[in-house]
Amino acid sequence: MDNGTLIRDIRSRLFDEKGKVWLAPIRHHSPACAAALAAMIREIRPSQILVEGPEDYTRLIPDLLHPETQPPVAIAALVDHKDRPRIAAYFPLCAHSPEFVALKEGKAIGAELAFFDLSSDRFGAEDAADLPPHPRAIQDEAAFDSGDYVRRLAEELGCRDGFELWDHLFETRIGTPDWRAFFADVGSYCAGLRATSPSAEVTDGINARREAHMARALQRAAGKGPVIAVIGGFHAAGLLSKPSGPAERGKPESMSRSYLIRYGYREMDALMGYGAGLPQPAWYERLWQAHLAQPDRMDWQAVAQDVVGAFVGEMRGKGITIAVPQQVELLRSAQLLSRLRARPGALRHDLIDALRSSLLKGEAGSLDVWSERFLTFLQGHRLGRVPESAGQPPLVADAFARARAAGFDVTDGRRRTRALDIRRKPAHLAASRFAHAMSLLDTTFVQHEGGPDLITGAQLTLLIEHWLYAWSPQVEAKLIEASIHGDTLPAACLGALLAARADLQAEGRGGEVLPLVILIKRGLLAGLGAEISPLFDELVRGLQVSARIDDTARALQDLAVLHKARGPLSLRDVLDPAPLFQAAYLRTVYLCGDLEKTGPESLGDALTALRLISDLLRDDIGEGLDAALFDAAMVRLEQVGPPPELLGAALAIRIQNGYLRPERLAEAVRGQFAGSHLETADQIRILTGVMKVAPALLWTEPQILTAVDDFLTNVSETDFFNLLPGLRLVFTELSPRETDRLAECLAETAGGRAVDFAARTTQVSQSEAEIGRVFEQEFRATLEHDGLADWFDGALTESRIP
Amino acid sequence: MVTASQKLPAELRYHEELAVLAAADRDPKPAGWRLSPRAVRRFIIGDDKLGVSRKFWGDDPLVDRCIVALMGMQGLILVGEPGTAKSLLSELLAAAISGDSLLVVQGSAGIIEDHLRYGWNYALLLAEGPSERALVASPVMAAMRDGKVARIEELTRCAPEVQDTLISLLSERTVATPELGSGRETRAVQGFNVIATANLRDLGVNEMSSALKRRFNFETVLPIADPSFERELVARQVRERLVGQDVGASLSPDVVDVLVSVFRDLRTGTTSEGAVVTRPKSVMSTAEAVNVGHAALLDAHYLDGATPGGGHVARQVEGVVFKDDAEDQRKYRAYVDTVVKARARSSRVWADYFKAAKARSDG
Repeated sequence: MDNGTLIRDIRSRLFDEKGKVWLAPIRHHSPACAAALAAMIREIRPSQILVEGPEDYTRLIPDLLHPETQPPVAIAALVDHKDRPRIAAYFPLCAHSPEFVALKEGKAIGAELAFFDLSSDRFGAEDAADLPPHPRAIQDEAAFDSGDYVRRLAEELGCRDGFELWDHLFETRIGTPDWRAFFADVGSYCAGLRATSPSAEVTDGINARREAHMARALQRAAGKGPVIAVIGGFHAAGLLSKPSGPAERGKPESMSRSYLIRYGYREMDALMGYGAGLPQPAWYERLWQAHLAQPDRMDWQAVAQDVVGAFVGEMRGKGITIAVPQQVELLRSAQLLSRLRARPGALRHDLIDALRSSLLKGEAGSLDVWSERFLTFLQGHRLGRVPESAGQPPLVADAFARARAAGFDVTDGRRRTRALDIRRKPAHLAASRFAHAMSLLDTTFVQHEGGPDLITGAQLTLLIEHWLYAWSPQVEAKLIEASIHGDTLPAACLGALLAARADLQAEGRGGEVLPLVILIKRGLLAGLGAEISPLFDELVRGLQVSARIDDTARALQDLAVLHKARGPLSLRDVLDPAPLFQAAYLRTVYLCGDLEKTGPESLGDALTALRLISDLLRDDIGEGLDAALFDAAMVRLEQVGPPPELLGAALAIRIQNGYLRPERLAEAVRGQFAGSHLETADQIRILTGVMKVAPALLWTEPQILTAVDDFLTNVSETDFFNLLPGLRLVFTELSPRETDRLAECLAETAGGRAVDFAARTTQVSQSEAEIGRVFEQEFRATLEHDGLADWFDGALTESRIP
Repeated sequence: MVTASQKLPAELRYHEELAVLAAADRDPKPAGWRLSPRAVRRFIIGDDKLGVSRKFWGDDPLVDRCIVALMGMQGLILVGEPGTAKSLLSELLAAAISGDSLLVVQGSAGIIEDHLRYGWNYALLLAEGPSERALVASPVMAAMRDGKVARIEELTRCAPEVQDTLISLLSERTVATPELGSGRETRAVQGFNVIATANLRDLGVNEMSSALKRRFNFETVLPIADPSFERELVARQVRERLVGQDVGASLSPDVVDVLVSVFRDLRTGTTSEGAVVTRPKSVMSTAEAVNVGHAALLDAHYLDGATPGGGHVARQVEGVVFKDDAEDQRKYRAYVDTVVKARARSSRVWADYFKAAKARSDG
């Protein structure tokens, strides 16, 4: 059959009046389709309505039509398969979704209602290898917006993309009483799409199986009185042909559980990224409401005014004013654009264009601030409601129960604060673990407002953690997304950590150990305890091959903290980090052997690493590590002739740890200072190393200070200026207190006190004072003459403020 | 001899198309317009059925917005990077709406208020005193009188106080001529409006006052986003330039690809492979690419007697685009040494380009 015949054929075969089967090809979330469908149902009064959607969702229809249910809602299915990660799939429905309207209208006339697609456990089973483990929409409509047919037609009709084309062709006809012509047009449009889609998309895999399944279900239903089947337009042609292939028998390979959950417009719009339905639900809801208010005549002018008015109101609420002339210009442009484009009234794209024209003053990129605000407005932020009887997915229920047990007030969605005394009160520690777990899963339930940051080690002296929290539908939606990792909070956290680990490997950062230690810490804060052991094993392997000394040294430092930690990060009685700690130390010592090859770009990292190790060895938490190994590594480093910075660092560390006498460093420093260098600035490179790892040597070991002082005293003025930038950099390592200390030492060698060298007071002679006084008088007189006297007084008052 | 002109105004260049459109135009026309808004749209973005060619590419909704803006009481100002066909669009709109694209004020630092309002023929002024005959109307005043579209090119190059003359012209839509007697004025006839073009970011441009900004609808003309489309456009425009010249050669698709890739890479700062390129200050517009392509073709045809290849493009790019900015030349050299060098390994045209570019920078 050629494409022309196919398209004509669809028109005549959608409605089988004799066999009493009516197909309603729709686009998801299209109010025009919903309106035509309602008209169709009222006229035909079918005894059965079949809706495209997994047949196991049929049991959720009573909840869906419950008086307490308020769209947007979604049916969420968690599909488990033995060979692949769990999939979370969504079937979002809003008030203007044709499927929802069909079910509501069907209930009103007492029709039998059912979903009739493949059940969700048979969904996507065969293309599992390609499935990313993230949430996916069950309605897939990518074909509506791409492909040759759409592009050519859009070009012909002057539309920029498939969305504008759809609105132009179909949403403009919302409320048309002739539903037969409307669906015939949708049907042939979709047949055109289908005919130009790559044949693999149509006939292979899941689509063909689904269509065969739905066709069989429709055949079974056909004998039992009038039936209306609501299907995505793309499948209409498939349902009209004879079902091919065997019926789906046998036990499905996956297991699926589905739940009715409340949903939000924001989440719905985000799913549009996966190609399901029309975007910006708030806009289409307005069309739907306008249609309901006046079913026989759509007042497009009123819709545009209504939308612009609401947008202006929302902006005013945010403190952004849109002046009346601009509003008028916006409406005028929208109306003229729609007329130019031969439309009954301003559609979404006309309004967006008009807004750009009338509000934007200046040059804009592809997405400007006004368009962005308006698109967000058109997206809307409505949240749905579901009756309690609908139940909750396990992870949501688990998290909710834990939130209550941990003392979080989750009776409503209000934002609250909580302070947790994590080191002294076990109950607060438990609550903190819950909060960390929720934050690990990215649920938006909590926000860390203050207190110690145990991951980065910042502000560790603080005792109290401060959290801001609120239980919202978004939290539930995020938890369902996280359900792909597990059904309980700890299981989901561990799953999320393992997934993060896999992501690191995919990014090529699998060899780094510090990120792994951070993941372990996050797990511990979330209260995972012994469950964290898979990551521990990974770390053991990672430490055998880690290649970067800075990464390994930081990991070592973190492990030292874990080793000794009490409180939130405590590992006592669960896992023994001591072997890991030792392994990390040995690895860093081993990696010291590579230091001589350090290039200039990684010198800073190498010095930091050396300082970390050296500090650790002198600290309590380094107890149990064999310091002699590190010293031997420093001896080797010193002997191979490393870059001067590393030589300085190695010597300084050895002196600091008592393995070397300071004379050796003083001698090396003098040698470098006096040596021949290409650049003057190279003379002080050794000092950089010393100051980075052991600045205290400058005041604890007088010989070293003397060496530096002698050098700086004797250097020529030109050379000094050349050295100055480098010297500044070197001495910024010092804290203000250390700077004072050093100044004292220097002053002592020069015979005096540091303050004597600080600010010099100038003696003013009497005649100079007299000149100043006269000048001030004249200046004041001039200002007074110019009427600016308060400048002078003002300035004086200000200068008096300390 | 009209045909010998280097460049004709749009209404003459396309006068047959305009006639066809006018004959077929059944849609309502705003007062003072020669064509209906839909016919204006067809004139600019083309209509295969009527044999009307497409003249502006890349952003059809922009054309709609411009037409709608001109129907209102706001002026239209086209902004965007140089070489994005702002002036072309303004000329086409004026030709289609008023049948006259010649009412132009070319903005520059030398523009004074008289150029936007009116001046005098001083000989007549001295001989007869102020009279209608002695008054020299500016293009803007002429457009008001005749109900046509006036064009102001490079508005932001005019001094701010001169720009602000437009505020009263656009809001009152009248020019008072008190010299001719009290109460004498020229009121704008239906059909009058102003299309300005401006560059908001170039060196040496003046800021627009917010009062003036409020009287304009701003439309940004962006560089062409789709690479395949840009290639097609460059190839076509180079061909068009050669019409009437006795040059048989043309740019092969490979050469056009090299030419457009170089311009896109340097304009956007990323190559199609995702490598980052330091962007030069020079304008890497599609229009410049056409200039380079044209020059490369002439070079190959007249001087080299060869088929134009990558080398001819390379020789022109540096001369045409990187005028004398040493910093730009450094950035371009770096681009040649990394991106072009890598591509030269797998393509002959790129190898050709690389060789010529290196020869220039080393020599």
